[in-house]
Amino acid sequence: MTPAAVGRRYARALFELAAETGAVDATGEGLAELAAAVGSLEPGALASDLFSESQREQLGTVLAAKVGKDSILGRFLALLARNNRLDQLPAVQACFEQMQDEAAGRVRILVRSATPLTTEARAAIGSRFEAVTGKKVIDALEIDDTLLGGVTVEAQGRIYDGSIRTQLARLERRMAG
Amino acid sequence: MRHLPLRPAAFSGALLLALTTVSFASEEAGHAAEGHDSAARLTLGFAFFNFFLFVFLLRKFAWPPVKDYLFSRRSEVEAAMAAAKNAREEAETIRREFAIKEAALEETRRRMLEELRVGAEADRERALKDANAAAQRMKAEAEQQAHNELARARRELRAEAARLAAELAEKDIRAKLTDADRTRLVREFVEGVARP
Repeated sequence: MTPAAVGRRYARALFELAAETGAVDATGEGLAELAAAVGSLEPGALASDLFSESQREQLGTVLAAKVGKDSILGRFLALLARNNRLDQLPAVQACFEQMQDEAAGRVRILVRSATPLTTEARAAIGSRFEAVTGKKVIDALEIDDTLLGGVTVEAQGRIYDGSIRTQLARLERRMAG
Repeated sequence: MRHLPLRPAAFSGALLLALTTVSFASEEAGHAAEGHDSAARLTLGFAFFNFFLFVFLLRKFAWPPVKDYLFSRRSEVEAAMAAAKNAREEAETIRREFAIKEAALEETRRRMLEELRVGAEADRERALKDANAAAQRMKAEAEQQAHNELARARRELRAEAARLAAELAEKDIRAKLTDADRTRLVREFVEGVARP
């Protein structure tokens, strides 16, 4: 099973449990913090062959105690540690967030621009993509000066490209024949 | 085995005996001239009698084995002649066979030479044809390679020109792009986004 599939399976289980107890948002926030912490570790820091079974149990107990050992997230962390899947936390969190958004009728978009955008410009982009996707849009902005001008938007696995960089590249390809 | 000429030998023996008898008779006659003619005739008659007795004995006892020997010898000679004839015919047959074989050999040699010549000619033709084909192929490959090189050089030149043009355009855009342009670009992008 691929890591993404593993993460999706754990995320679905956690989401359904959180939805049953009405703790989806709280669980999502805690999971995001933990995933950020795990994501900041060096790659392989939680590799499956680094810890013995007892060490994993201890790690799970400590992490669960931090977030509340009787909470859904605490029990979930203990389960992940027991199953040697702690390194899958970022993937679990991404899937969980996607499920959260789907359940709430939201979509996340990533806007890239060469310069910071005005509030009006971001609002115009957001409302346009709400119309395109039919869902409420949560946008994130990333500055990339290699774009020269214009913006690109990544939404639901698609990239909408309105940058000058891409237009120049297209022009260069046409000239090169 | 030495074969004597029997008929002349017998004749010579008889003549010698006759002459001896005559000589003896002449000698006796010489003595008789002194005395008795009748005794001389008796002696002569006795000599003839001896001679004919000798001939008779020869004919009776010596001639049959001589004749047998001669017949045997004749048969041997005839057999030898027949064998010689057979051998000669056999030799002739062998000679003819050899002549035929020689002719066949000559024909084989001539045919082999012809086949070799034809084969060599075919090889030469084939080698020539292959060499021509190889030369044509090499020429075509060289032309194709030159064509490809030219096309590649053209592509590289066009790509380089395009890259330089894009680079210049980028510098120009960076220098001249204003906030109003950026706003306009975002607005055009928003207007251009369509439902997937």
